[in-house]
Amino acid sequence: MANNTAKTYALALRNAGGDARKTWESLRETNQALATVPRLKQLLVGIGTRPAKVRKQEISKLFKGQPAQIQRLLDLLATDASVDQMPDILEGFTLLLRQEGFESVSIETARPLSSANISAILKSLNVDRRKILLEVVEEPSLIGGVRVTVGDRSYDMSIGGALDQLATNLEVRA
Amino acid sequence: MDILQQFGINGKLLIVQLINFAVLVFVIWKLVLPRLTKLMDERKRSIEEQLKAAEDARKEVEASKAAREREQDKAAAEATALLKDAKDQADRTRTELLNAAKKDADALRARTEEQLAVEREKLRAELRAEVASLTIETTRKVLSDVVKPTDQKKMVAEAAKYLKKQEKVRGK
Repeated sequence: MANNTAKTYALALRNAGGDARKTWESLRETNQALATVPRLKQLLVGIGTRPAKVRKQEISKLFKGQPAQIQRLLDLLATDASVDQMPDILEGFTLLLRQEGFESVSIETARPLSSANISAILKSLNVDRRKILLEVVEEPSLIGGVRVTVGDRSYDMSIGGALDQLATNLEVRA
Repeated sequence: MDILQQFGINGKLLIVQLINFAVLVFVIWKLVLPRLTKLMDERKRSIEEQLKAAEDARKEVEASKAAREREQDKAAAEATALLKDAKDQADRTRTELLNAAKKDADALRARTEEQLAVEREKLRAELRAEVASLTIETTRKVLSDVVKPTDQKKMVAEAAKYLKKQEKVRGK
């Protein structure tokens, strides 16, 4: 559950404007990068004590390609020494968008999916495509097929899922 | 009298002897005989009393003997009856104990068989679960190597169709 500080940052980010979906995607990417590359996080924390101009330049270099509002958020977090809030901020932002009618869609796949595959899956969903917060995750344990989660409903169409279900059924029977 | 003299019998002497005999008989009759008779009666009575007493004593002894024998017989009969009762009671008790022991043994056997059956079923279930788990894990490993990218494409296409159907049903 996002704490109040994270909710505040999330709200500020939402109010900063821009395409909500793209902002969300950028926020997710940035969060993933900070989680998987410890050195990146260290650098960002280190930037916090620098002068404003230097901070902005460094952030722009490190997070090249990210929207302006994301870079501004990172600047704020570095200054406030609140870089650890990123996961909660993402959660809070996601919640805000859900309240606006956006739907979280997560596609877990055993192997990388092509755009056509992703598009076919999204097309089959009963959701406004403009309001989809999409996350595609590679999960080798699925072996084959995909597992799609839309909001609070989940469709497991993977081999791994079928084997897990079989294991559960056999345990219950035993 | 001549006849008497021929036989050598003195008539006068005979008469005197007869008178003497009569006097003697009279004296005996009057004096001796009563006393003798009395004595004899007394003695007879005494003997009779003694005989009676002896007879009574004998009868008493016999009665005592009979009573003792009856008592002994009664005691023997009672002892026999007691022994028989005791034996019967012992037999009954033995039978009861045997039956109770048999019942306990049967109950124990039944319980043990039931427990064994439960244990057997539990082991079977564990074995089934173990076999199932191993089979599934093996299947996972084999399929991981066997599933190709083309298979993945087909599966994704099928998944999209399935999703469409499910979302349509949900939409209704």
